[in-house]
Amino acid sequence: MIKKEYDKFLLIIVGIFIISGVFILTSASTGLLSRNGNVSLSNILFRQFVLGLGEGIILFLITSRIHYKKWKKFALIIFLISFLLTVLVFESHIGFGHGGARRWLNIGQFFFQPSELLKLAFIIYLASWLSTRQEHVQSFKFGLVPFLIIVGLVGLVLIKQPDIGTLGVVAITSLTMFFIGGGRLSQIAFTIFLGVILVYILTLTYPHVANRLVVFLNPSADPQGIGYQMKQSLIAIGSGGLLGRGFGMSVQKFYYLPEPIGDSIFAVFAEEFGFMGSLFLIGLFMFFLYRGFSIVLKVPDQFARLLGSGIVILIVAQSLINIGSMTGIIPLTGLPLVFISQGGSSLAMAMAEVGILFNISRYV
Amino acid sequence: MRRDSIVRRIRITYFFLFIIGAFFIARLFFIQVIHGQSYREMANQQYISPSSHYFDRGIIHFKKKDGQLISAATIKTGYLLAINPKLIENAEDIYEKISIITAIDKELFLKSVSKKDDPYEEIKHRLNEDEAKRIQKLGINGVGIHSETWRYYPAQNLASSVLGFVGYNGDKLEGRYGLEKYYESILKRGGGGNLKINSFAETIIDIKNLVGNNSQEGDIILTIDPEVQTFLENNLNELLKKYDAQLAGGIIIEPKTGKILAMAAKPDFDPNNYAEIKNLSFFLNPNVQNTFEMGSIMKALTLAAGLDLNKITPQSTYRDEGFVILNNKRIENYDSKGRGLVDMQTVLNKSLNTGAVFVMQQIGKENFYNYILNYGLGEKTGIDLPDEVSGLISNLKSDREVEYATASFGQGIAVTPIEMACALSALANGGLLMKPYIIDEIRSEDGVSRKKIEPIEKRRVLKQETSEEISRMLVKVTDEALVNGAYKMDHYTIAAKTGTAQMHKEDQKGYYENEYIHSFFGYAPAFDARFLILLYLVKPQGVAYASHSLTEPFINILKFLLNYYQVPPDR
Repeated sequence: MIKKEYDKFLLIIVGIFIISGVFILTSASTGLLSRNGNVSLSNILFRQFVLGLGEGIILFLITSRIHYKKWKKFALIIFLISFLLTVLVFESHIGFGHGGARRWLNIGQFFFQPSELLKLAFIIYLASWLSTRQEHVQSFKFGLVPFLIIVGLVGLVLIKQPDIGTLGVVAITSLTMFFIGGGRLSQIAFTIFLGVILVYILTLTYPHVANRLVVFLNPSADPQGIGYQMKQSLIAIGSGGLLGRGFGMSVQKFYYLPEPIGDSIFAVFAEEFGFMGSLFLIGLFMFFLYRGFSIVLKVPDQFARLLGSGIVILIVAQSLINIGSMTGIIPLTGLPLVFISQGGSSLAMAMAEVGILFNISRYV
Repeated sequence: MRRDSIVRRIRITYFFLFIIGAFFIARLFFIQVIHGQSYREMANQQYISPSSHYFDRGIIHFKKKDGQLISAATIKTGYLLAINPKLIENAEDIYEKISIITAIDKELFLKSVSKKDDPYEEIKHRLNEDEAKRIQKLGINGVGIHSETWRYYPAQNLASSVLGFVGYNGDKLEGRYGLEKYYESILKRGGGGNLKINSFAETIIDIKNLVGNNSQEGDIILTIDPEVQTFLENNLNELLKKYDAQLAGGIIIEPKTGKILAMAAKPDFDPNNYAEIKNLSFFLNPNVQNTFEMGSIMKALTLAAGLDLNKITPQSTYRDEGFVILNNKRIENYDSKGRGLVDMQTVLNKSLNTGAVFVMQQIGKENFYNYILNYGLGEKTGIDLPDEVSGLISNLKSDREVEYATASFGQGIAVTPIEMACALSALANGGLLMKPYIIDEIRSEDGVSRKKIEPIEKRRVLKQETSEEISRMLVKVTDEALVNGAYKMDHYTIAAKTGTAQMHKEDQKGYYENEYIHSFFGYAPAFDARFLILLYLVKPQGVAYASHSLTEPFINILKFLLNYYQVPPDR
C-alpha cells in the first residue's frame, strides 16, 4: 500500500466549519446575557475555543497519525473502556447530572461527556466486527442477532441516562453500517420494525419523549408549553428571510430560544444569515459528505470503508437531525450541531473522528 | 461479499443522504423565503407582548385655565387578598382575624375556602398598603397578598357622565362609557395589559415602527376646566335637590371655538364604584345621548332666521290675538292672553308663541326647515363622545303648518342639549356653526409627541350682522324682561333666553299636563362672547317657569366665569 497525500479538501472543509463555529457561537452566546443567573461569556468561549478546540486539535493530530488499521486491533478494548466510562456517569461520585439527565463525568475541573467517546468507539468496534465476519453478516443467527445485542447494550445505557438523541444517531449510523457491511434488506426492515416498537415503549416510559412526539405531530398542541421551543425556533429561522438579520442581530437568541448556544444554535444562525446562510451550512455538510464518501469509495479494505462511512454518517446524520428538529422535520432531540454547538467534548471528538478519516485518506 | 456490491451499497447510502440534504434545503427555502414575511410578523408581535399582571391605561387630565393638569382618570396601585383554599385550616378563626383589619364578605370567604381543588381564590380587591401589611404580618398559611393596579377616578363623581368608566365587557377590561369608550384605542395599553417590549428586540430592530398602531397611544387632556366643572355640578346638584327634579343638566361652551369648558348631568355616579349603580341609564350622558323638546329658547333661533332673511326687523310688528289656529289646532301663549300690536323685541321679552309662529310664517316652511337643518339640529355634532344621537326633527317632513308653528317655539322637535348649545353658539359667535370638542390634546406617555386639537368650523349659518342683531335683542331680554330686569349687570352685556316646555309623553302621543322641561341659555359678553351656558331641568316640582328656577343658577355660574377668567367689563 502506497502512502499518499492527505485529502486537503477535507482539511479545508473542517477548517471552514471551525471558523464558522467560532463566529456563530460567539454571536449566539450573547443571547445568554438576557438570562438570569451568572453566565460568564468569556468562560463559555474559553471552554469551547481553548479547551474544546485545543483538545480537538491535539486529538486530530494524534488520530490522523495513527494508522487506521491499528483501530481494528484495539476495537474491542476501546469499545469496552468507553462503554464502562459511560456507565460510570451513574456512579454518584464522578457522575454528574444536569437538566434531568446524567451524561457527564466530572474529573477535577473537567467535565466530559463519555457518550461522545462511546459513539466513536462503537463505530470502530462495529466496523471491525462487520469486516471480520463478512460472510456471516447476512445470517440471522450470526449476523443480525449479535448486531442487535451490541446495539441494544449501548442503547440501554443511553436510554438510562437518558440521551434519546444520541441513541437515535447511534441507531441510524449502526444500521447504515450494517447495511453497507452486507445486511439483508429484510433484516434492516425487521430492525426498523423493532425500533418503532422501542420508540413506542419509550413514549410510555418517558413522558418527555411522548410530549415531543405529540408536539411534532401537532405543533399547535401547546404553543406556550412543550410546543414553545418548536415555535420559537421556527420564528427564528423564518424571520431570517432570504438574507438574514445580519451577523449578531438575532433577536430570538435573547430570551425566546431555549439553549441558543446548544441545540438551538442553528436557529440563531439561520435568523442572522437567512436562507443563504442555511444553504451555505447545509452545503458545507453535503460537501463534507461528498469528500468523505469519495475517500471511502476508493479505499481498498472493508474495515476502512466501514469505519470511514461510519464516521461520515455519524457527523452528517447528527447535524441533519439537529437541523431537522429545528425546522420541524423530525421531533425535537437534544443533539448538538457538530462543529458549531457549544460543547467541548462534542467538538474534540468530532475532530478526533475527522483525524481518523484524514488518516484513511492517505491510503486511497 | 463482493466488492462491487459494497460499493453499490455505499453509493445508495450516499445518494440517500444527499436526497435528505436537498429536502432540508427545500424545507428551509419554504420557511425562510416563502413564509419568511409571516414569521417575521409573528416575531415582531411577540416582541411586544401584553403582560397580564398589571392593568395599565392612559391618563385623562382636566386642564385648568393656567394649563395646570389635574388627573381625572388615572391608575392606582394597591393590594389583592387571595387564598389557597387547600391550605386554609380553621376558616372561622381566619375570617375573624382578617375582619379586624378589613371588612370581608363572610359568605364569599367561606364559599371560597370550600373550593379545595382550586389553588387560588380572590377574596378582596383594592386593599391599601396598611391593610395589606397587617394581613401579611398575621402570617396565615394559605392567605396571600398580591399587588394590583386599577383604574381610579380621583375626583369621584366629577364629570363622570363625560368620563364614563372602565369595566368588563365579557372578560375584556375596556372603556364602557364616555371618553373611556370613545378613546379606547388611545387609552388602552396592549389589550388590557401592560405593553412589554423586549429590550433586546428594541435595540436591534425598530420594533415600534414595525408595529404601527402603537404610536397613537397616549394620555388625554380635556378641554374641561375642573373649577368650572365643579361649579356647574354644584349648581346642578342644588337644582336637582331644590326642585326634586328628575334630571338637571348643563353645558358651558366657548362659542367661538366649540370648546367644551364643562358638561354635566345630575344625578350621576362615582365611576370608582360603578358596579353599585343598578340603573344603567345613569351611565348615559343626556347631553349627547338624550333628546328634549327644549321650548322657548328655540325662539331665539327662529327670530335669528327671520332677521337673517330680512323678513323681519326688531321693530316689525304683528297683531297678537293670544292664539292662532292652524290645521284645526289651537296654539296659545303661555298665559293665553292677546297683547294687540306688538314688536319682535316683545316676542322675546314676553316669550310669545304667537310671535314665533308669525316669524315662521314670514320665513316660510321650506326656508324655516332649511335653517333648522343649517343650525345642525337633526345632525350629530360629531363631538368626541360615544353613541351620540341626532335630534328628532321628522315632524318637519310633514306638510302641516302646525308642525312648523310648534317647532318655532321649541315643541314637536326634540334635540340633544349639545346640538342646541352649538346652534345657539352661532348666535353668539358671529354666525358660525362650530364642531364641539372636549379633548384639547393627546400626548404620548413620555410627553414628547403632542397632538393639539384645533377648532373646526362646520359652516356659516347666519350673517355677522344677524348675530349682532339677535345678540342686541337678547341683551334687552336680560336687561328688561328677565325677572323684570332684576339680574341686569351694569358692566356686562348678557344675552339670554328662558324656555319652559311641556313634557312629551314618552311612549304615546300628547303632553303631560303638569310635567315640564325648563331650559335656559345665555352668553356673555354678548358681543364678544367668551362662553355660552345652557342649563336644563327635567320635571322640576313646585316651580312654574324656567325664569324662576334657572335664572339664579345661570347668573351664579356667569358671575363665577367672569371672575374666574377675569373678563373685562364691556359696558
